[in-house]
Amino acid sequence: MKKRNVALWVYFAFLIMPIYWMLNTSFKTNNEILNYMHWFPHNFTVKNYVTIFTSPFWRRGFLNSLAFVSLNVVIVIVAAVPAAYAFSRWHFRGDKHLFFWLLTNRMAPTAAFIVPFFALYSNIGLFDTHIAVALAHALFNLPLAIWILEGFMSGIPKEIDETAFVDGYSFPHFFWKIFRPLISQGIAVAAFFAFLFSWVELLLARTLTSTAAKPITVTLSRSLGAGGWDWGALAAAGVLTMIPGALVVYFIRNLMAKGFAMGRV
Amino acid sequence: MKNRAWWFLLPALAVMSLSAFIPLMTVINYAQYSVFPGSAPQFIGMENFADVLGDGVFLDSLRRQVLFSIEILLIEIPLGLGLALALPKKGKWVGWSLVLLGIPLLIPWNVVGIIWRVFTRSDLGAVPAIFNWIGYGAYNASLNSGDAWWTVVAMDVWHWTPLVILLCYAGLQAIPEEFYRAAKIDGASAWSTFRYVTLPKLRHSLILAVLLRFMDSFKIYAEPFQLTGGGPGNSTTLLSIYTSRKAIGGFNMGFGAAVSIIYFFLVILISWLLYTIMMNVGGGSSK
Amino acid sequence: MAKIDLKNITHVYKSGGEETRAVNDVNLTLAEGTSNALIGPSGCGKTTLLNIISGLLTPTEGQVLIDGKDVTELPPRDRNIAQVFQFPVVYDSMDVYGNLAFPLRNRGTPEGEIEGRVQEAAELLGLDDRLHENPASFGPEWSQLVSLGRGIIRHDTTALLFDEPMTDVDPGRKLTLRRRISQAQKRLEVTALYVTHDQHEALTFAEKAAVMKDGQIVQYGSPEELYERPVSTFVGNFIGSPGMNFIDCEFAGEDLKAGKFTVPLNETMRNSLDSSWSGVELGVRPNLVDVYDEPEGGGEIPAEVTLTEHLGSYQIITLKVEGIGVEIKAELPLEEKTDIGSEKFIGLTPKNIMLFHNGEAIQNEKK
Repeated sequence: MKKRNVALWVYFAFLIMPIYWMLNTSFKTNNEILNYMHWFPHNFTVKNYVTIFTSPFWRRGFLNSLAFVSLNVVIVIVAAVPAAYAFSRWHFRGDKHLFFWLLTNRMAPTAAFIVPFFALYSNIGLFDTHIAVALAHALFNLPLAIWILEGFMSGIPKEIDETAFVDGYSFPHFFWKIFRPLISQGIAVAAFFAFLFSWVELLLARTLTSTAAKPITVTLSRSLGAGGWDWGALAAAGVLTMIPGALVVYFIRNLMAKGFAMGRV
Repeated sequence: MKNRAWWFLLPALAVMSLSAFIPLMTVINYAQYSVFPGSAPQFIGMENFADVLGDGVFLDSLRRQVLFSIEILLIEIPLGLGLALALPKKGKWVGWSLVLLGIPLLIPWNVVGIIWRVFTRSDLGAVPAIFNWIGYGAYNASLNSGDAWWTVVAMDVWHWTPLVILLCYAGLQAIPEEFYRAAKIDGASAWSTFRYVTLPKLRHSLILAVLLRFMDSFKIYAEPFQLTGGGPGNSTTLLSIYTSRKAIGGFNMGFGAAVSIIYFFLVILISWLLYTIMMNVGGGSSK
Repeated sequence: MAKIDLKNITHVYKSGGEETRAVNDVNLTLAEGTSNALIGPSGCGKTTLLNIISGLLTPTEGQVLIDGKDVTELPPRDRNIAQVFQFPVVYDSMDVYGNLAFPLRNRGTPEGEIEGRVQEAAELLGLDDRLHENPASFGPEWSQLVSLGRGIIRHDTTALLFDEPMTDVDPGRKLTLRRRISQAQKRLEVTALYVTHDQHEALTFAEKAAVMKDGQIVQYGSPEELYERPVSTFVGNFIGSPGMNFIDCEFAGEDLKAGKFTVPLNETMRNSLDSSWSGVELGVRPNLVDVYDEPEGGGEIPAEVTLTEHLGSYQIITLKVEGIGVEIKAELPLEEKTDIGSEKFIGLTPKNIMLFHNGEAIQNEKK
């Protein structure tokens, strides 16, 4: 009992340390950051955060990120729910192969796809738009979402569908009224994983945008190089990018244990 | 009925054609040409593939990549399993622990790199200060390749062990209490209980954890790119960093495309091998 | 093979600020080598009591004695008790042989001895053909046999406990499983306790049964005793299907009055009544209700048939008596004509009825 608690405390300390250091750095002046090794800010300042909030540059980055992330979640859910339903309810020629092919896409190394993505989206005029990033992220998110939802749906007896049809429900009516509430947790979990990946990914988002749709992560990466190192502002921006994720995790905390079972246990 | 299934799959297939099928075809096409900017592409068949496999930097990155994936799997899987077992099953701290574990997973990958850069840089990081304090003053992740390597590994452990913990924890929650009661009645020791109840029941969660961690570690890009940029020298140049250099910065786009295909093929092949091995280990065995 | 004594067992679950008294001051002795059942409605504390005996729970108060030795604080493995759970537990990383050998290996029994014992147990349970199969693919019936096998494999097993083992088993397979369990128990002469909410299951398995209600044991006796001499209206109603009929009665001189009808009593019954009571409850088993087509002149009560149910070799009819708020169920041979709506006459004779006051039996002596 004691030993496991010690292990947990040590681990959680390790988990918090780098984040704490970032937070600590974000409240320091650049002078203090570079010249002193202080475990907490001696000259506490919020100047770094002011820099970020007053820069349209950073603000736009945040909004762009939120735009393609939400778009991605919507695309993924709308496409994954019917597909997962088909896989969980019907056997058709090639269903196993198709399912497996979808999953292999989850294995695609992002770096391998940047050039063709760039070429394709430039040719069809989608380069530097939110939809381009959202579609590109669907390469990884859609297979995972279909897989998760298929797991949840297979746990729901087919008899429910059959009873509803016998009772005279039309398909859309049945789907919305009866089936959707039953898989709402699965949808939440799939949406969570779609959000997660789209929000954290850098390489595709960077390749497919230049100015109009540039996400916050790229803004952050680029600002490193431009004209000296503003470590304080960088740390503050880093802290800010952690907030949306932390909020999402906080709101779904009661679904976490079940969510990571991904409907498969 | 059969046609209905295809209608249901239509939206997903439409999206996948834009995000997977067409791009993949493009890469396969490119890979057979010599493509230099400003001149017409020239068909050269499999030559690009031969060039890639003969490229020392590619082979070095691949070797490094395999080593990296093995190392992080060896650390993260046992650590994640152990911590999931240590985590209380209920109580007021469970919710908060889960939130805390979820946070690293939702930090943008390059920000993870930045966090660790701020954390480990010799001029402003806490890590060098701590190493200095315990007597290893020479620590420098941007000059010393050994330090850089282990810093990248530590970052990955920090970033992804929570995923393993959450997967295992979810699996543990799903084991019916009766199994533990029966093991107690049968007089099983803590080790036997773990070996014959917990581990077999967690098999699917562990397979999923190994596969996800393998795939994602094999594809890792933004974190080491931001932390070390692949250096010092090429000491932390993993396969993705090499590939993106070749794909974007390289002169011959055909060469980059060939790298991409070999890369993709390797991920699928190794994932399949891992899956097959794991499915055959720990099944029903006699006596 | 052991005698089990429960002395003043009380168990309280605490969750949040709330306390639930699941078991309340239970005293019970299970004689050596007997088969016993513990029955009661869901939530009455049966499973808690079982887990206290096996050692999975330590009672809040009281003692558990096995052959006179206090084992209250001992863990399950030191009590040598076997338990079969509601949910069939098999270790699916081992074959049947490995499952059966598991408790022995945990105790460090030499492999040579294990082999003989596994054979012996497998033969007893009819598992000998399936020793090298993986039980993961077994249905609940066979899985339960494997769990039972792990229980009886040790020679020093003091008691076998069953926690509603039939729940997941197909109705058609229940009989076979029950027979195997019964055979094994008799052959090994091991003390057994079988928890269930299905009285039929309990009464066919057990020599003696304890009826539990709200954390307390209300009656412990043979199936005949429980059926013929229930100590309370609860037991009367719970045992038997359908349960006992109850009619509220008032005193009317020497006899009882139910609505406007008179029910005659005998001498012993009259003597057991207390005139300060406002009335008593009359109980009668459905098979002891006399039903006539015509009045027999003994003060029979007219009633109307409202429902008939055919149950194989007999039928249960429901009768409604005008002026009395209850329906009376009676068991009749199939040949009787019992059209719905027809009029019948009910005879309640002293030798067939029991009297209860405030739910407690007044006298159990049958004359």
